Amino acid sequence: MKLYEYVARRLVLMLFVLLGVITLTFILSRGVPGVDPLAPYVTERTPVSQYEAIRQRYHLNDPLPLQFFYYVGTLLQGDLGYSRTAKLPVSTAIMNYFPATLELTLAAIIIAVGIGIPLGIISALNNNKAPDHASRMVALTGVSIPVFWFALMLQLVFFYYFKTLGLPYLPSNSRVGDDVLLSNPVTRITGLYFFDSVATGNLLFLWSSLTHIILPAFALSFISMGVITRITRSSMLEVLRQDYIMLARSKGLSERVVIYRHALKNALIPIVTVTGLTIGGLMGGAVLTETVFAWPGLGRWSTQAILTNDTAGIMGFVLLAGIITVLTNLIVDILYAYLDPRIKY
Amino acid sequence: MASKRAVSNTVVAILVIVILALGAYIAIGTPGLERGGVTTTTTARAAPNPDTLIHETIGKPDFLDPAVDYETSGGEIIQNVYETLVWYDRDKISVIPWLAKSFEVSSDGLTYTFELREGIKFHDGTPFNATAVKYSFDRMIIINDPDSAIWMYSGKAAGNIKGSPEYTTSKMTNADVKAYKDAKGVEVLGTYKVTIHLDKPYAAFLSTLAFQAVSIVSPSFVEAHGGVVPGKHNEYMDTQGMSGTGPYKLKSYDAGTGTVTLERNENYWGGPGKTGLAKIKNVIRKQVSDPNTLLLDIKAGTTDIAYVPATHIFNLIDKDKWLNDGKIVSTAEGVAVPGPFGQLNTNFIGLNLDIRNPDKTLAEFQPFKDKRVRQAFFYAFDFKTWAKDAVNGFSKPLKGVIPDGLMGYDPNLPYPVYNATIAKQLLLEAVKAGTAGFSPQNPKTIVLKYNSGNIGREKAAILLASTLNQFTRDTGLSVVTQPVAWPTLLSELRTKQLAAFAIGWLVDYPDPDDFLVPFADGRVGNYALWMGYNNSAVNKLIDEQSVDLNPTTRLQKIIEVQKMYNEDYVAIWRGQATIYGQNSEVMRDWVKGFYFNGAYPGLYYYSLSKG
Repeated sequence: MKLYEYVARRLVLMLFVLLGVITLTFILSRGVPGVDPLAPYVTERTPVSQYEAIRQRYHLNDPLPLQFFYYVGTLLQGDLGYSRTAKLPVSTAIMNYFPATLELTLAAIIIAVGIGIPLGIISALNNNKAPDHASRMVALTGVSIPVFWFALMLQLVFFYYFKTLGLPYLPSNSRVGDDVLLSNPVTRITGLYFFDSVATGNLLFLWSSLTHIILPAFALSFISMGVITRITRSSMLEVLRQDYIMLARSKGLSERVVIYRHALKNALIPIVTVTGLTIGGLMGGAVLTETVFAWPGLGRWSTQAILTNDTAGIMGFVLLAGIITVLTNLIVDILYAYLDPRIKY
Repeated sequence: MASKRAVSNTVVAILVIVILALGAYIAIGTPGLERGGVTTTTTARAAPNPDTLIHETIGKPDFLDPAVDYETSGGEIIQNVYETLVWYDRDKISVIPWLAKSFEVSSDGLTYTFELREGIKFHDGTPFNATAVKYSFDRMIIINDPDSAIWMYSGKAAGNIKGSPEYTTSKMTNADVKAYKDAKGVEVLGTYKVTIHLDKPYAAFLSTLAFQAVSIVSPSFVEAHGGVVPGKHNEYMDTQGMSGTGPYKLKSYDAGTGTVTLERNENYWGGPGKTGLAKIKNVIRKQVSDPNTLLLDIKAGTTDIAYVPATHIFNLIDKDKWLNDGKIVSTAEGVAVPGPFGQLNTNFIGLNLDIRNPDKTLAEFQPFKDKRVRQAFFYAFDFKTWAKDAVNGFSKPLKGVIPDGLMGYDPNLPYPVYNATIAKQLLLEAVKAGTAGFSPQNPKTIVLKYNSGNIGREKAAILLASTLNQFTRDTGLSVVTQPVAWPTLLSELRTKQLAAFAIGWLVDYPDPDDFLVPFADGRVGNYALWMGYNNSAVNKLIDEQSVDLNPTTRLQKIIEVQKMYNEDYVAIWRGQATIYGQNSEVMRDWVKGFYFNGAYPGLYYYSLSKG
């Protein structure tokens, strides 16, 4: 099977997966006894006599299959409904929150991979020696520390203490500085501040958004960094024991070539798998990090949607998460073929 | 070894790059951000960015359209951009003419006539006049959003504008619109004269005219951006555009981040006191959910105003001085905590006299049918302990439904004081009489629910339960507490499944009717309905006071309603919230001009200055 055939097949299968996910979520949001479909649409102030009007407005009196039919029908028209949590149409909410989450995720992954892989390599090359122990401590710390606590500590040190001590400090919240937003707002093209500010030549906005992403990205990367370090270490250790590595060395190749061209490349499969899963997970939203740093991403929105039984918001988010998961896995699978020529489709 | 050297070189290279970048950052600094500094003198620091006020808080607006918005975050923005015919006189809750220069009320209370001020312009430059007033009222009625505050102007519970349809209508049909317009509930009598006709007199009607829902909008602006469609929101007005007469204009609203940016209206008429333009040019209102982040920001001075919940306030004020002396003394350098103030709200624990099963049938166990059981619950609630431990003293005791600050508040109403012994005695009497529904031989459990995440309600529930559970062996009654998600709580409340619940009510408009009806009117009041409470004598008195235009006789009726309601023992008062700021805000000491008004939904930025 050629690659494009494989990709097309996977994309078609994705549609079925998504339909199943939507159906399940719809049933759980509307059809389970004890769940009141009216709940998202009223407050304690809504007079009792208005309830029927609200039920009619949102088709809540219709049988469940009919309600699902209305929902799927609007979905096919590109209308994902209205999120009462975001106070926006779901599609608009996604367009607002997704770039923020994407940017934060990419920054976190760059840090996690950029530090995790070298640390893992150092650890593998110095197996059971001091650098290995140090690296493992860092990795263990990464997976052990609660991310919200770590985020608060970063904020406390690099924002509050640095500021009160007269040092240049990193911002505590938001994607960009208030003064820059007021005086030098960027023209929105994609919603990705890095891309939009580079594309429009708004260097002040670029610098401000870069300084604002450092702390949340580092907080978010720490767990993933630990995992990637550990996976890299164990994968490298396994590869370094292989005969072809010994052969490469005996042929007189430099150690740099042995490590990076022969060992690392073959060790990358599990690293790519974990990184792909991590990206998928982070794209679902890092609610704790986003809350601490007031980062307007998917995590906060989806959590609020669940807590307030925002049916449209929940299903819109689940649909998006399903698409991201399937696409991420597809990309990982394609990378396998690139990394390991033995893999065919 | 060669392999280690290769990797070591790489690592060293990375470290060098990081150090160089850090050095560059320190050397160049962060443009647009202030360097920190330790203040070693007692003089206040100069306000940074004197032209911009930054306000960090936890909520974001639902909508920016006054015709549909019905919550405090949107209300905070609306009250700075739009204005109403009458409004509050600074820190008083009595209304004075605002966009109107005078008004008259007919002797039968059915007609309100307003002479309007002249020479005022909307933000889009068009003139404010009687046509705009009628347009604003009409569009609210025609949009007819059942989730909005329309019930105040178009329902049985409050004053009906003549011709306005019952808000139970799910859609405003063209016939409904025609009928409303033909009835001429709001009538233009001249360029600057307008009249509102009611179906029945309503003593609180003037108060309702100060509420955000009847803010006056620019007709031209609305028509240029979607107009008015019966039964539907105007999406542009919801989140993108505002055009009022207020001291601020909307510059931008990012619904994703919840950030609202306002800029000064340079053509503002100055209000009734002709106090000129707003002193601060720009206002940025940001949504920041984490209380620790808010705390750090206000202490560091990167925000001018921050919401700080009562659970975190002792990071900023002296705990002993507050708990022992009732004085708020700031302990954080450069941070001012204005207060304390009594919020116009009522917190309570409700007891259900008509508990239902999920299938709406009557539940077999009805513990609160016996008045002694209800009384026992009242005597079992230790308000003092709860106020001190649960909300750090930020609650004032109440003896009736009307909070302090409103007409009808009476601290001398007869009300039971915490006494566990009497509580036990009452329960035993009910058990002995066989009317309690429980006994040591037939033990039962009451579940007391509250919305998860609300610490005050949680601790009130636990405190009440722990007192009553001391007697379980003798009475057979045990009380368990259960947190539930807010939508679930509301859902079970509406279907009367909750035996007991902890909740609160915040003022819409500063009139006693806004409290009496929801709690005590068994025909239409939400809480009354949810508690199965319906006392015809109380209902009658509520009706009488709502149409009584004589303040003296009206007050007597209001007090009597509260007495009768208390004697029925259905709502255990958990007090009235005491707050700082307008809604628990603290400020940097360079922010001046703040005053508290219990009727404001949020901060009135016009009154503030920096420096």
